[in-house]
Amino acid sequence: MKRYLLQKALERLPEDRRERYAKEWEADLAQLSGLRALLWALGLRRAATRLARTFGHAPKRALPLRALPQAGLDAAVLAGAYLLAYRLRFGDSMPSVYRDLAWQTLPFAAAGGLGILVLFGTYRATGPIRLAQAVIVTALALESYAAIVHPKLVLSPRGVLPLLPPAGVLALFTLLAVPALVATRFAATARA
Amino acid sequence: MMQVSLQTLQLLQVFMEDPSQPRYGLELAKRTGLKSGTVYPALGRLEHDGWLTSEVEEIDPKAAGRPARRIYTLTNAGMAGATQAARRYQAALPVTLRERFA
Repeated sequence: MKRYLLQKALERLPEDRRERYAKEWEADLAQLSGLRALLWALGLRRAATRLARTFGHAPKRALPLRALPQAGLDAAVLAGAYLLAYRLRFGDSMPSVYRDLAWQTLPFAAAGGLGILVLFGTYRATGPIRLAQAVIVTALALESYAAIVHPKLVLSPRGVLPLLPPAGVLALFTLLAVPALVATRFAATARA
Repeated sequence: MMQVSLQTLQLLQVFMEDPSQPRYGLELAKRTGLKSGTVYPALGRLEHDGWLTSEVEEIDPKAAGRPARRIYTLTNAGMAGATQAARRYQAALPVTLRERFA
C-alpha cells in the first residue's frame, strides 16, 4: 500500500524530479512501519503537489478556470436534455408525479452531471466516448439519486413500486445530451 | 526576501542548532512534529531559493542496512535568512511572549 501511495505521489511531480524524490522518500519511508508509514506515504501526495508548484509545474486542474464557461453551458445542456427527455417520453399528458420528479431531480441532472463530467476528465481531454460514458453514468446516478434522496412509492398495475425516472426518459436524456455536449465543444473549437 | 512560514522557521531552527550538521526529511519531521506534506515542500523551496543544499549521503546501503538518505545542509544565505526571519517573528510576538521565547 505505501509503495502504491508513493508511486501515486511521484506521478504528480515533474518527470525530471521523480527519480530524485523517489530515492529520498523511499529512504525515509524505509525507517517507518505500520500506520505511521501509511500516514507518511499519504502526506507525500500533498508534498508532491506543493513541490510541483514550486518547480512551476502545477498539476492540471480537473476543471481549469478557462473551462468554466463551457462547464456552465454543459450544466444548461444537461438540464435542458433532461426536461426535454420527459417531454418527449410523455408528451402533453405527463403524470403529475413524474412532473414533480422531473423538477426534484433536475438540479442533480445539471450539477451532479457536471460533477461527473469533471470526474471523467472531460475538461482536460476531449472525446465523444468519454462524454458518452459520463452521461451514461449521470443517467444511472439519477436513478440512485431519486431512490435515495426523493424516495416515493406509487401504486401501479404491477403493485407498489418506487418512483424513479423511467428508463425511456434516461435513454432519451442520454441520446439528447451526448450529441448536444459534443456539438457545444465542436462549436467552441471552431470559434477558437 | 523570501516569505518564511512558521513551519519553515521550525525547520530552520533545527538546522540552526548546529548549522554544520546535515539533516534529512524524516529526522526534521520527527524533531518538529510536521508531516511529510509540509516538510518536503518546505525543504524543496528552501533548496530552490538557495537556503539549503542537498546531496545523497555517501554510505554503503548493504553495510548500513538502509538506503542512502538525501541530506540537507544550511547555506550561509540560509543562515542569514533564518536569523532575520526568526527576528521578524520574535518582534511580532507580544512583549510577554517575546520575553518567554527570548
